[in-house]
Amino acid sequence: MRPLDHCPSQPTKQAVLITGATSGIGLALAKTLAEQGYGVVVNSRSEADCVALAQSIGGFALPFDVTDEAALKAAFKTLNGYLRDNELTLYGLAHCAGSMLTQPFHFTNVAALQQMLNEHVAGAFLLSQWSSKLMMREQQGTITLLSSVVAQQGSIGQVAYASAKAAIEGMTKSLAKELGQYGVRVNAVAPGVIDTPLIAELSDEQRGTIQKSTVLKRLGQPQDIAQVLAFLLSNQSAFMTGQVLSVDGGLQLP
Amino acid sequence: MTNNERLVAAFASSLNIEASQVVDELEYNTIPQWDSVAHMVLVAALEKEFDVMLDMDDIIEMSSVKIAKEILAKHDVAF
Repeated sequence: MRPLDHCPSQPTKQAVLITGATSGIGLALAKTLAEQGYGVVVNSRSEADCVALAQSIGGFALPFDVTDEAALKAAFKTLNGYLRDNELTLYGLAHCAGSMLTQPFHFTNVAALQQMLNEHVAGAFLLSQWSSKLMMREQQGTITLLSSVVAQQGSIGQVAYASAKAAIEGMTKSLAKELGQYGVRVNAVAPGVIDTPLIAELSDEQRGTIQKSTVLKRLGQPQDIAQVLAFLLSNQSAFMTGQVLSVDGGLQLP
Repeated sequence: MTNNERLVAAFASSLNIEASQVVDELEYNTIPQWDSVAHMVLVAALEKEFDVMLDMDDIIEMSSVKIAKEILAKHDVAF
């Protein structure tokens, strides 16, 4: 069943904004949602990459840096015009942009911590603020954020990254409580170790160690996460909000 | 409809009040219907009606019907 076929008070067509859409999980999600018939709005910092992806999947390119508030604000005004001109409504946001810092605690300065907080927390905060205003016009919408297995488990060398991801989980639950009255659902996915450019620097030995510690004995693939994000964005999860779903191949099992 | 009529209709619908109550002097939090929850419903309705995107500062500042008109005027909506 296509998502367009089973949503209540169906808009002419639903658009989903995906940040970090040109690689890893965001890219897998953009392709998945385009195949499912959504109007896909793809974001990344690189205009060239963004435009190329939009052309290849039939979406709309909206390049901006999620840590630049002025650029983000301008982008949402552009998005508003695009939605109006194409008789679309913003139904979903998936915030997949963000880097991962792996560095010993005593080598991590406050600027590096602030960068993690800007990308993951301030980015999610502003994107949710502007997206939810568009969703509230139709009294429906879904926001999905990305946490990480390290938010709950912690990780050596990832104090800054884990702090930012833990904040995402608190944000998810609070946003869900505040935006539910406007018909907007908010959920998050906490991926385990996913085979994306974020872990490109891991050695084969390190990859092997991670695979062995995972119940399913493999690394996750971007599509593993994209499928769950697509579910949370769709009306199939219409009664779910404020949830953080672990998608980690059993990595967190004791 | 004039822009003023459109604004009055958006206020009345969002706050669930009579159109006659929507006067310049009506202020945020002076009637039970215009609370923080209804305020965001109102913002969404005004944005949709006038095809504008209000900044967060606008949302905080929009404390009366009169000021709402002034804010919308900044976004090229004439009253």
